[in-house]
Amino acid sequence: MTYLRSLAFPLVAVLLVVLAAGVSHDDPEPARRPSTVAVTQSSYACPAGSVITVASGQVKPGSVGTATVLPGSGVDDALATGTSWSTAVVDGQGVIVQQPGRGAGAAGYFAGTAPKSGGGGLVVGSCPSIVDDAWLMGLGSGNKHFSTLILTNLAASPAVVDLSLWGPDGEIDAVNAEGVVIEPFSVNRIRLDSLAAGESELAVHVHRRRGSISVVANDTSTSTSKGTEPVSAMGAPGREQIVPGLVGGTSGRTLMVLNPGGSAARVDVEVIGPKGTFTPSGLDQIKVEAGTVRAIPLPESAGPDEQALRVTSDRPVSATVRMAPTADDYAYAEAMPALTGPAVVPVDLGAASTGAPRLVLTAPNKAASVELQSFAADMTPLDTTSVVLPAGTTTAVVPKTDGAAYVVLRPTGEVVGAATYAKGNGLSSLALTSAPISVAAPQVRPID
Amino acid sequence: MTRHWLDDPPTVAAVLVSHNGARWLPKVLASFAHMFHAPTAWRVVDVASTDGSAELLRDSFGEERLTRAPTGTGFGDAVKLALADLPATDWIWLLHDDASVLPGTLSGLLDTATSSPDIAAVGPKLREWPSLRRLLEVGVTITSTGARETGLETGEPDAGQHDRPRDVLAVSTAGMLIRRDVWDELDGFDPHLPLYFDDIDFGWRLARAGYRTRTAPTAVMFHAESSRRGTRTQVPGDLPRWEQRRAALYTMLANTPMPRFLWQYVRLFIGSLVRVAGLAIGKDPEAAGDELLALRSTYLRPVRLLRARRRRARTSRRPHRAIKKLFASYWLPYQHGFDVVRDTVRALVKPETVTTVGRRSTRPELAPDELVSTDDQPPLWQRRPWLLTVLALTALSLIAGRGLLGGGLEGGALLRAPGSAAGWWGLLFERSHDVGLASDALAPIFALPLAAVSTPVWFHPGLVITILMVFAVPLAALTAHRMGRQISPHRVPRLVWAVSYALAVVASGAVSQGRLGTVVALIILPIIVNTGWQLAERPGWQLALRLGIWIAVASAFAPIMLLLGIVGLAILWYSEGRWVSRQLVIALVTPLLLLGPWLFQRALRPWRMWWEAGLPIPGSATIHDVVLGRAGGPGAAPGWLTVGLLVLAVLALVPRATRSGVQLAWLVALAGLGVALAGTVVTYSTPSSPIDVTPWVGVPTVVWIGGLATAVLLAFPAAGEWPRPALIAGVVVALVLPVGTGLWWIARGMDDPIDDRPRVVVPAFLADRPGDTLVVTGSVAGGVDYRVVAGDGGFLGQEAVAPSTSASADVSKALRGLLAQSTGPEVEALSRAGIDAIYAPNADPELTRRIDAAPSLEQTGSDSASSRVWTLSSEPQLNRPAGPWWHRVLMAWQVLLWLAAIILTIPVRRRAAPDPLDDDEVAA
Repeated sequence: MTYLRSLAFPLVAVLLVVLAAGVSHDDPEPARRPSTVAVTQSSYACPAGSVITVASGQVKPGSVGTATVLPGSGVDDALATGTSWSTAVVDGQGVIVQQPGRGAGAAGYFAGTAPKSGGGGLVVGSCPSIVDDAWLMGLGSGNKHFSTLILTNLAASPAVVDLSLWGPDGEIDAVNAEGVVIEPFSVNRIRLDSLAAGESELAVHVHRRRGSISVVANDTSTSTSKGTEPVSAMGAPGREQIVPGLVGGTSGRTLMVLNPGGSAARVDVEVIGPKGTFTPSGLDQIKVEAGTVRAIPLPESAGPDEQALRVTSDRPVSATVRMAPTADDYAYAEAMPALTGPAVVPVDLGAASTGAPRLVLTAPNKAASVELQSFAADMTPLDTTSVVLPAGTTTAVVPKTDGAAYVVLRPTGEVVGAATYAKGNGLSSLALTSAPISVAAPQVRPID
Repeated sequence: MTRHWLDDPPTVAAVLVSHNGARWLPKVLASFAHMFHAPTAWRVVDVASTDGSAELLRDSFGEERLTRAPTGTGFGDAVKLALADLPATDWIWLLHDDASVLPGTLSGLLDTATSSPDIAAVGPKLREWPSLRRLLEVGVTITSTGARETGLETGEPDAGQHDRPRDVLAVSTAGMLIRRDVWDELDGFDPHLPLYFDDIDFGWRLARAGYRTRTAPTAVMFHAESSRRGTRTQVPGDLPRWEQRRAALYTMLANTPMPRFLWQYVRLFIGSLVRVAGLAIGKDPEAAGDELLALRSTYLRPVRLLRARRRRARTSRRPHRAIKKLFASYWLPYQHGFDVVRDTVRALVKPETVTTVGRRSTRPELAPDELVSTDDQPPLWQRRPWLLTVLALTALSLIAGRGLLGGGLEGGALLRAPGSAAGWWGLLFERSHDVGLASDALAPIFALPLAAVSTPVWFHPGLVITILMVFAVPLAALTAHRMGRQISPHRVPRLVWAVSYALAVVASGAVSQGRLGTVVALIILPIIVNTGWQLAERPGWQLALRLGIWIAVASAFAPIMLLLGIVGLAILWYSEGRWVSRQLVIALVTPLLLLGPWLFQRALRPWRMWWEAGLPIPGSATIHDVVLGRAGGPGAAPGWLTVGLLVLAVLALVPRATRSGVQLAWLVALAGLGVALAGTVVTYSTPSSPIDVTPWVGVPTVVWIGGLATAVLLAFPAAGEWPRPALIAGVVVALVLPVGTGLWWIARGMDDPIDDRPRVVVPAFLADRPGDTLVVTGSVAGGVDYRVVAGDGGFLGQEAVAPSTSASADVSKALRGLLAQSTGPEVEALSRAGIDAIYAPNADPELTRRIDAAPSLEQTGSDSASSRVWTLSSEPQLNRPAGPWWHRVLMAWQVLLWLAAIILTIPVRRRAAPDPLDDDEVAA
């Protein structure tokens, strides 16, 4: 009997092992994906000058921020009030606005009319915030079509960027394009012809190596199609891009596609028109050679309506559309991601005000809707309208803007769009981007 | 020898002073009968004897030669009384009632005394009563601490090595021959030194007066030293025991010349207080009390001292430096201290229990001729196999620790040691810790033993860590072997067992991975079991307390030991029954009290008790690893080495004769296995980080293996009945573990990941900045980890000091915001937390881009994509909130508790009744 009792000891050991094997589990550590946090401060840089009006506003009231006029460290008190829509003409190369406010969604815009000597035309653009990679298209460095990159350093330490340029014949080995230094709190204007002269079509990639910078470009043409237009930075190339906000009229529309990759891309283009999505004839299986920019005039089969283009490709590409319905001014419709939150549409742009802009809104996939609410300069809500966007269609609306300084567009569903401003023969298109209300933040934890 | 003095023999008056010496007098008086040369005159003084001494003297010398002195008469006064009744002679010969002479004693003394005119005092060679060869004194001097110094080794036998006459500071009054004129000149012995140190004081004065004191080794006397040993019958009026120390202080202070006197005055005062404290801690209250009384008596009578110094100044004729060579060297007291340490270490490594002789023994255990000659003994490896094994393990440790001997061990879970022991003391008592983020947490309790042990090597506390890690095997073997002596009488098997256990510690991977907590706990584990075993055999509250303290020490380093300790106590209770219940309660409560706040920080938190001293580096043990005694990770020995032990442990359950012990060992092993397996299925998190950490299960795993090995050891006697081939097979299998592991240990070494090279936690230029450095790792997509590093990184113990939750949350929020939107306020928040640099080693490009975009950050260092550094342009806020005041009080209370507990375990020393020397002992 005691012998059996002795046997119990190894048996207990075996039992413990079996028990542990049963309980044991190998849980891999759950992935710690970034999550959304409210933005507490927005920073953006606007180009400035004597003919440019800078406007600042927000979706929700914030607190008083600072507007630093560059060069130097002068402050413009009219901007960055945090609780109103403000406009000012800032005498300087640029202005950096730092606007605190939890989830306020502060955004800035600039507008003006270019002098005749520079091609003339209406300019309306959004003030860019800090970017890591900026892709700009529709630029040029020829005699009659030339562009200027406006790089603003928003911090107290020097910033360094690398520039890559592509033309119709391939990537351009530009001089002094790497390690471009932007001194603290200063604006660096780089004419593209100083990097690569004589290119009629250019695409530029700005890669931030260090520091905090914002990028916007000014594009001017003095050829048959005159005009001036700010070019906003687009996101990274992709296999599907939506280019919203094409103005009406079949003439003067040119689709430009950049294929920065190492092999040729096959690009298909669909038109998302007022009645639905279709593939216009002559725009299927466009071949874009590796490392080139290709300009493709949009055929009449695309239709005269305000519309958006869906550009799909087997390689990542960037796309933009130059729109020159008249010979006096032109505008760009840039590929943009769908809105993730409210967007601010400027109305009161000081001397450059054009009245109510025309909103060209597209629901590229499923049906969506938008709520348009106009606000007075003191942020008093004025008028609210709702617009339903049927699936795969583009709708153009003009919001009621009596006494309004800006309109807040709140999308439900997937919506892309642009605001078109026209003043006389002047034309400008402003791609709608979400106001910075929330941002994806990585999961952070302390370790021992 | 030609005795020139015989031509004109000098006159000698012998004075014998007696006080309750009836026990020795017959032999003493008889010895006077056969002297080659007798004294000219005799006078005996009896100081109020109550034991019939006076009658013995009267019978021997006659009433006319006997002086009766009243109670309390000192030796010097008694001699003066005798001299008053004696004619003036050339020499005076002083005799004690407990010292017998040889026929040639006086003539031997006179030989030396007459050899030179400046010799004023001569003393015989004193040997142990009644007629032994052990030397007591051949001249005597005094150390700078006031101790009587004979210059002899403990129990040194007389082999003629001191037979050359030499000048000494003093000779004992027993047998002292003094020139009468010098005696008169110096006015005899100081009446303030009635019994002790009168000889040294007289010799000192005599030397300063320009005379010489010389030993006469040809004159031999046998002295019972009854007063010093306390073997004389005490009667009212006798001198108290503290008189000996008082006399020492008085002698030193009365004779030390200026200006050295001033230094001695202060030094002896402070030294005596230190001795009082030491004796009190060593739980010898009587000796401490004596010391205090002696101090009071000496220092509260400055006038007496002043007069004594004046008297001495009058007879002084030569400077102190002329007699300097007569004194003991200044380092002698420290050498005695070293001897005590040496004896302790020897007792630890000797295979059998050894009673060290220490101070002179009063028991004649070994007569000189009983000393065993070492010439025809078996070789050392047969006599002292354990000593040789320890030496071999120590030497092998140096080979296996080849990558670790440069000092400053670091790596794995181990952090570096602080710059000095002050680091650990500071950690215990500072109200705010400089550990990166603000922290007012209580320090880990393991910093206390580390601070205490590293205090003697103040500027090299890393030495303690290095010794513990590099010599983990011999240390564990030592403690295991001590336990082995309790549980097995078989020398070789227990030696193999102890070595196997010690190698199991290193085989678990604990040393290589820098698991200091495991190493310390496993070195202590055999002591815990040993103490528990002793407690079961002879229950007592002191043993229970000691058991509790050891559990507390082990739990301080590896909190899981508390759980294992409780299980062990339960096993003890189960096996020994209720009669040890009370002791077990003490053993249980003691660690709970001693660990104090540590309990709440670590030991009682669910699963956090797995976090040992050092960084919470996750363990990676599988069930398979645990069963084979490995705790996973780098530095673990091949598991198959243990398979043989598992088989033998099961077989050990078979023999009936040893089964009860084997079952007990199995029970302990199963407890270890159960706890280790539980450790493989749970996780814990630290207070400062939400990360789930898989426990390191080194401690319970080795408990499992150690338990099995013990089962095999206990079953060994039964293996004698096995058939010879089976026995040989069993022995071979049993040897696979120690031999195989030993070879692996030597071949692999103990480094990697730990080594002796300092870790670069942050670049050196950041470590010098005033603020802390935020070290960021991980990626935006997969999550970012950070830690805030002060200076060049923390030291061992600081990892356990968790930053305050709010400070941690603030930094997390700011960093998250910074990585999300790169704005200034986040950078300012970091600055407010005391951070002035961000360091991203092995940085994810997206991560660095986001940090880069923030304003108020300046990129520093190289543009290397793999390692980026930014400094904050604003000044960091370095004001740290201090913890509440009671933290210090609490920590001081903890220290006192530890001290009190340790002192309580030391046995109280009581003066034992003196061991009388037996007159019937066989003479040498």
